[in-house]
Amino acid sequence: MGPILAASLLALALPSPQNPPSETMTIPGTDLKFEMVYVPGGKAKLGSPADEPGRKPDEMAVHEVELRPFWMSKTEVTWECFVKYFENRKAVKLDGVTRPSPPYEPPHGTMGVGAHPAVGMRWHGAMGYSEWVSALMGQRFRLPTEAELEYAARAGSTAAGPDKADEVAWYKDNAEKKTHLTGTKKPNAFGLCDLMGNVWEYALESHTPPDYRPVLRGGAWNTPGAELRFAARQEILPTWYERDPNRPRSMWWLTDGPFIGFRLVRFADPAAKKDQEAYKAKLEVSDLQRGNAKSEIARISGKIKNGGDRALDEVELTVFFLDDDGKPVFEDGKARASFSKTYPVLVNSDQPGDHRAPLKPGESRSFVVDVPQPLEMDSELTKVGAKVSALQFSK
Amino acid sequence: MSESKTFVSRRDFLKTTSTVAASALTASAIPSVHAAGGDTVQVALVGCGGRGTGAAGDALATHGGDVKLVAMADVLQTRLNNSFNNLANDKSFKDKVKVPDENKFIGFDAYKKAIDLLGKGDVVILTTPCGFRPIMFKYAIDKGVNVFMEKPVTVDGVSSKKMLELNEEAKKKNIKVGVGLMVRHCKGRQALFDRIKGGEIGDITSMRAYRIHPPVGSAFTEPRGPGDKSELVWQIKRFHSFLWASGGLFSDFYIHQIDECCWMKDAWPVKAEAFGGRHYRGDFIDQNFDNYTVEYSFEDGTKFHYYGRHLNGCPSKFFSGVHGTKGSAVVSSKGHTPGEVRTFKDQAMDNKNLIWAFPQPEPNPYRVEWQDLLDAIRDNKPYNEVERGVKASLVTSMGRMSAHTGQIITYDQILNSKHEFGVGIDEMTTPESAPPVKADEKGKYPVPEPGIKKDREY
Repeated sequence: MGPILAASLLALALPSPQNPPSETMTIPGTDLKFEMVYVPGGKAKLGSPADEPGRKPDEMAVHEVELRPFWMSKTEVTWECFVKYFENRKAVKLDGVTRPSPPYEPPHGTMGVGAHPAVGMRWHGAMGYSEWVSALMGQRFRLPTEAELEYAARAGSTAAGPDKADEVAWYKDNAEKKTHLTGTKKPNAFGLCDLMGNVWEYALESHTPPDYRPVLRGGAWNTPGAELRFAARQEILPTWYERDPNRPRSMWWLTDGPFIGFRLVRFADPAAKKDQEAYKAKLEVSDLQRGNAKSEIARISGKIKNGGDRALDEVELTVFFLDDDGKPVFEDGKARASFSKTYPVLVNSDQPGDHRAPLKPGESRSFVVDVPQPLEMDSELTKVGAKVSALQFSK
Repeated sequence: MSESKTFVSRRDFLKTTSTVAASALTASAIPSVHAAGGDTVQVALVGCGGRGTGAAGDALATHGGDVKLVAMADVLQTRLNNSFNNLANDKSFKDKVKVPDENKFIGFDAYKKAIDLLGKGDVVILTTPCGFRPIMFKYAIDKGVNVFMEKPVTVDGVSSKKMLELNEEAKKKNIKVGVGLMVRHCKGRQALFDRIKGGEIGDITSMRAYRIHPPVGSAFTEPRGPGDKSELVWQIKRFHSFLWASGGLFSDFYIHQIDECCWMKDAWPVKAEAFGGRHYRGDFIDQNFDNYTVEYSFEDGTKFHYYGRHLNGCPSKFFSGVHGTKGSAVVSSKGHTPGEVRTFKDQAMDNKNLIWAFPQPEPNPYRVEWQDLLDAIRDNKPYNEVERGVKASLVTSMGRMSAHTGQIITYDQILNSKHEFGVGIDEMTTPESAPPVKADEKGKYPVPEPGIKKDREY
C-alpha cells in the first residue's frame, strides 16, 4: 500500500499510541534505521493563554490551526545517523548539499553517542542533514515547522505541558544532567517520543523572520519541570556560541549547546514526485534584490509567481549568491554554507504572514530572506539567484 | 596606496594618540608610557584567520581602559577583508575598530608595516602559522612593541633556540608578551593546580590525555588545485598539513593538553617514546599521521600518556586526567573550556568519590588571557610567557619527533636537533617565493618514515 493511500485511509482513524502507522527507513549504504510516524492532520489549539504560569512574551496567543497530515520522525535524529552526514565528506557526493566540518571538540561532551540524540549543531547543520537524507532517499524531508512541532507534542492536549512528565520526558528532575537514548520514554498520543525534553529541537522557521535566528521547541534534559511547556519558544543564546575562539563563529557547531538537536518531517507523496519536479519550472522567481549587508548576512528579497494551473501548499526556495560564471555558490572558501531557504508558501506554518495561504494559479507573492555571504572567494559576489527546491500541491 | 596618503594618515594617527605617538618616535628614550591606567592600547592584527580575528575580538572585549584595533596584515586580501568586516560589524566593538584602508596591509612584509604603526605600550597580535613567529617576534622586539602570539610558538629545536634567544632581548626591554596557551589562564585549572600542590590527591603517579576526533582544520590535504596558484600561499592556508608552518596537527592540536598536564606535574618531561602512523592516506598529500601515542617520562620516572587519533567512524574523546597516590583529578573534561576540573578521593573518576569541583559556569580563558596581558601593560608589570610557550612547544615537538622518527627522543635531542623546518622563511617576499617544502613531480610531499629517517622528521 502506497503511503498516500495509507495516509488517506488512516487519516479517518483516530490516532492510537499502541499501533500508530509508521515506517522504518534505512539510510542507503548503511544499516542505520529510523522510524517515521504518521501524524494525522486536523484542527488544534496552539499557543498559550496570557495567564499561563511561566509564559514568555514571545509565545503566541491561543489560536486554532488546521494542519495538513505529515510524517514525523518518532525520535530525535541520533548521533549515529548525524555522524554519517558530516564525516567522510567524500564518501557520498551530492550536488549542492553542504556539510559541516567535523567538530574540534565533541559537541556532546561526555554524554552518550550512538542512539543518543545528536546535539550541538547549528541550524544549518540540521537543515543540511535534512537535505542529505532527502537526496539519499529520494523523498523530501525537512525540519518541522513550529506549528508541526507543537501540534505533534500536544497530540491533542490543551494543557500547558505533558500530564505525566516523568513518563514521557527526560528533563531536569529525572535526566541527571545528560541526554538519554532516544525513544526510551513512553510515546505520546501520536506515538511520538521525546518531543518534550531530552533535547530542544530546531524548527524550520526563524524565531522572527526574516531575521536569521533559529527557534527551538520542546525543552531539554536541563529544562526545569515548570518550563517544560508546549508553547515555549527558545532562541539561540550568545552564551551557546561565544566561547568559540574563532571569528566568524562556526556556522556548524555551538560551543555550549549539548542540549540542542532536531528531528525531521516528511511529506510522503512519492506518486506526485514527477509532477512536482515538472511543476518547478512553472514557478517564476523575479525582482531579486540584495538589500543591505549586515555582518556576514545579506538580506535578499524577491517575488514568486505561480504560472501553472495547480494550487500549492508549500514552496521552498533556495536563495544563493552567484559566482562570476553565474553558478550558484552553496559553499564558500571556508567550507561554510552560503545559501538560505525560504518558504513563501508554507500552509503548516502558523507564524504571521501571507505564506500560510496556498498559492493559487496565477498568484504572486513576495519573500524576504537573510543569506550568509560567501567568505574568502576570489572576487566579491554581488549577484544573487534563487531556485525552487521543493513544492507541495494542495489537495 | 600612495606615499603621501600613508604619511598623512600616519600623522593624523599620531596626533590622536599623542602619548603613544611620542614613544613610537623615541621608543628608546622613554621608559614607560603606560604607567597611568586608562591610556588607549592600540592593537595590530597580523594573521587575519579565524583565530587571529577571534583574538582581536577578545582584545577588544577587555575592560579597564580603551583598546583600539588600528592595523591589519595578511598575505590574503580576502582573509583580511572578512576579518575586518566581522569585527567592524560587531556592535559590541563600536568605535574600537579603527582600521582605515591605508592601514590594511597585504603581503609578506605586511607585518612590518602594521607593527610600524604601533608604539611602546601597544600590542601586535601574531596569529600567522607559527613558522613565522621568530621573524615577526624579532621585528616587534626591535620596535619595542608588546606581543600576543598564538600557540604553538615553535615547530622544532632550531626555532625554539631562536625564540629563547630573542626573548632575552624582549625581557631586557620589558616588552610584555602573552602566549595563547589560554588554559594557563583558566581559573579552574589554576585552582586545581593549587589543590594538587597542596597534596589533595597525593603525589602524581601518572597522567593521561586524549584528543580523538575526525580530521579537522587543514590537517588532511589533497593535491593543490588550479585555483591555488601560489604553492606557498596554499601551504600557508593549509598550515596544519605542513610541518614547517604549524608543527603539523600534532603540535597545533595537542600542545594545550600536553602543556596542562606538565603544568599539573610542575615539570617538563625529559624524554618521549612515541608511536604513530597513517592508516588511510588515500589521495592526501599532507605530512601528518592520523594517529599518535606518546609516553612522556619525567625526571622522577612519572609517565604521561598522550593519545591522538583522527579517523572517521571512531567515537570522539577529549580528556586530560591526573592520577595521584591519594586520588585523581580531571584537568579537561570535554574540551579546553569549560575545563570542569574536579578532584576525587580514588582512582575512579566517579562522582561518588568527588572531593571538589570548580563551580560552573567558569570564566572564558580566551578572554581572561587578554585581560591579564592588558592589565600588565597598563600597570607596567613584567609579563612574559615566551619561555613557558617555547618549552611547551618544544616538548610537544619532542613527542612528535619520536613518533615521526621511531626513536626515543630526549629533551636535549629535540632542543639540539639540526632539522630546521622553516628554511628560507626570512627570504619570502612574494607568493612566488619558494616554500620550505616542495611537492615532487607527482604532487607529493615528504612524509615521516619511522626507522628510516631517524634524525629528521621528513
